[in-house]
Amino acid sequence: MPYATNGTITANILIHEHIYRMEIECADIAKEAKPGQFIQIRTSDHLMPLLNRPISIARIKDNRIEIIYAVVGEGTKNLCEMKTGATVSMVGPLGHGFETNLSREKVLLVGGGMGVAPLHALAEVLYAQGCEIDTILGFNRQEDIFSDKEFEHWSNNVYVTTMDGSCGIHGHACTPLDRHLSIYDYRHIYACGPQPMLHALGKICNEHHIDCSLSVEEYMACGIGVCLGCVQPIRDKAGSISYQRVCVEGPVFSSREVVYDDELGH
Amino acid sequence: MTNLAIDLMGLTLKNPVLGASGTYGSGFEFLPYYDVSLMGGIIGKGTTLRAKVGNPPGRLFETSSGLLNCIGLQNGGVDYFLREILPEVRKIDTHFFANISGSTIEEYGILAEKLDVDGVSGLEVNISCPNVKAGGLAFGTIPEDALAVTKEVKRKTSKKVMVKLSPNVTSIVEIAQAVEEGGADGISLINTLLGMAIDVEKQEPVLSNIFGGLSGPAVKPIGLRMVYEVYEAVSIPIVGLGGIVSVQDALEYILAGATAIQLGTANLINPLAGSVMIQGLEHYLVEHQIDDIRTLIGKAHHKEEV
Ligand SMILES: Cc1cc2nc3c(=O)[nH]c(=O)nc-3n(C[C@H](O)[C@H](O)[C@H](O)COP(=O)(O)OP(=O)(O)OC[C@H]3O[C@@H](n4cnc5c(N)ncnc54)[C@H](O)[C@@H]3O)c2cc1C
Ligand SMILES: Cc1cc2nc3c(=O)[nH]c(=O)nc-3n(C[C@H](O)[C@H](O)[C@H](O)COP(=O)(O)O)c2cc1C
Ligand code: FES
Repeated sequence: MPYATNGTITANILIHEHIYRMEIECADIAKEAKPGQFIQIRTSDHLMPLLNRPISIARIKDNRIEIIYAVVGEGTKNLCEMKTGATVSMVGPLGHGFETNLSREKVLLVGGGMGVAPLHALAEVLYAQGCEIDTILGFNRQEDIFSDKEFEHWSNNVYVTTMDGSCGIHGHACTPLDRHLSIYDYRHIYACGPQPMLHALGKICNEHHIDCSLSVEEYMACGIGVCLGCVQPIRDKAGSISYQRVCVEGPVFSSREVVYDDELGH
Repeated sequence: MTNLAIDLMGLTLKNPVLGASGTYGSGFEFLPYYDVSLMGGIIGKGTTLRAKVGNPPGRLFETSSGLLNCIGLQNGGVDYFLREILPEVRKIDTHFFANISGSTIEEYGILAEKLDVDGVSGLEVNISCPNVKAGGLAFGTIPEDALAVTKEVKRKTSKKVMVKLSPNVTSIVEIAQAVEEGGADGISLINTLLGMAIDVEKQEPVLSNIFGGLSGPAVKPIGLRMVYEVYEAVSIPIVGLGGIVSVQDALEYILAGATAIQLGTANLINPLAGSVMIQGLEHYLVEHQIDDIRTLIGKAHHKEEV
């Protein structure tokens, strides 16, 4: 069950260029949160910015949650200026997170850019359940890389890719995939990142008949399912397509439910 | 004891705070956050005769203290509402108003007839939705059409009918008088103001529908002015909305002539907005030793007469 509640900031640290890690003490949200869910966080006491900002729950520890966010505009700028000890108002946990009912299986996590954030909590849970984890983390440039060390703890192998080739494998997060899929037999692939990456990955998984969960993003207002603003086209089991809410039915969808860009208009 | 209860179109509401159409779901979505039966009333999301898929993504955009939306009335249609949603709505002990939107006058009539059922206290007739190319806007901008829709809905239902006006008109008073003449039991205003935003990087409109409806604090002075104007021109009760977030905003609307108010965008920025508003109004009355909220309705006008 979600709560509209307050939390206390226990850490708000610059981990990398424009990327911050905020830890919030909030027992209500922490005890309910599942990997892949998100919170709607209030970034101001005033009416600007008006809307709460959706941010993934990156980690869940006892009565605290952790978020990892990039400063991209006014809302996230306000967040990064908040001090330890301050109160922050939130709604959460929201949405349908990742299915984590696997144990002792071989899985692959694929994160692109800020999409790496929610994979922390997922890796932690799957690792605890004895899964064998490989991780691919995709970034634009070497300077953008974060959390690669942390994932080494939960993963057998961590592969880093950069778009400009400045570090690791040259290309996007799906670049190493073709080779991987011919070598390893993954039971499930989990991914979060920019839409082009998710769509490329989803199509590959569908072709190879591998179960794949994609955590998508859409502009949000309420985050609780009432405004119908955050929809994406989703295919149901019978094959019919309708607009579903990323904040309620998502943000995690199966690669078979996602409707790919090149299918639209048909 | 302070009294927050009001009479609206012959219905007794626990308080003057209602959830606005399209921002309050069907009410039960807020049950995780507070007891929704505390609300004066709930206005359901826009319902059409047939299911509507709505506009493609790119439905929302935040502007300075405002929100643009082009949802495009996504809903399952009236039969789906009656079958799947109404039974849930009936479990909530407060007044529920169905918000209806048609693309022809006949459609409004059929919707009114189908919704003349237990569990629906009244209808809010949306003659103003700016998002839907074929319907909405036209009715709310032409007095004769507004009158015709009102008459048709009244003819087909035994329920109370409030007509929701569009602010995208030259004279709001003319439309208000037309719906009163058509037999409306009440008027709600305002719906969203037509607006847009442009992405300067992509050099194209942000919203998938190009235009969208503007709501939120940015529109409050306009809604307030329109309620004030309409109050002087009609004798049926007015439900005021548009940018109400704080207790102060709600009081301004009531003083301008609103019998009740609706919270729209406020629910999207805080799911507790309804309950916070009810408590805030109560607190205000106690602090100011006002026995009855009804004594405030339209009070801003009386000063002029002295
Ligand atoms: C379910 C979900 C989970 C998310 N998790 C994270 C996370 O863990 N870490 C993180 O850094 N970011 C995350 N985001 C993206 C984050 O919500 C946006 O970066 C943030 O809202 C930008 O707010 P702002 O006020 O700083 O910038 P704004 O000035 O509002 O916008 C800056 C840019 O961000 C874009 N933007 C605004 N809102 C969104 C949105 N909801 N989704 C995508 N882009 C948006 C705008 O179009 C604009 O280009 C998530 C988004 C969703 C929907
Ligand atoms: C996301 C969204 C969806 C809406 N959908 C409807 C609708 O279906 N029918 C309707 O009459 N008004 C609809 N409205 C308009 C609101 O009910 C209200 O009139 C308007 O938002 C102004 O009030 P506010 O500033 O308090 O939000 C919608 C508004 C928003 C923001
Ligand atoms: S953001 Fe309002 S329905 Fe998803």
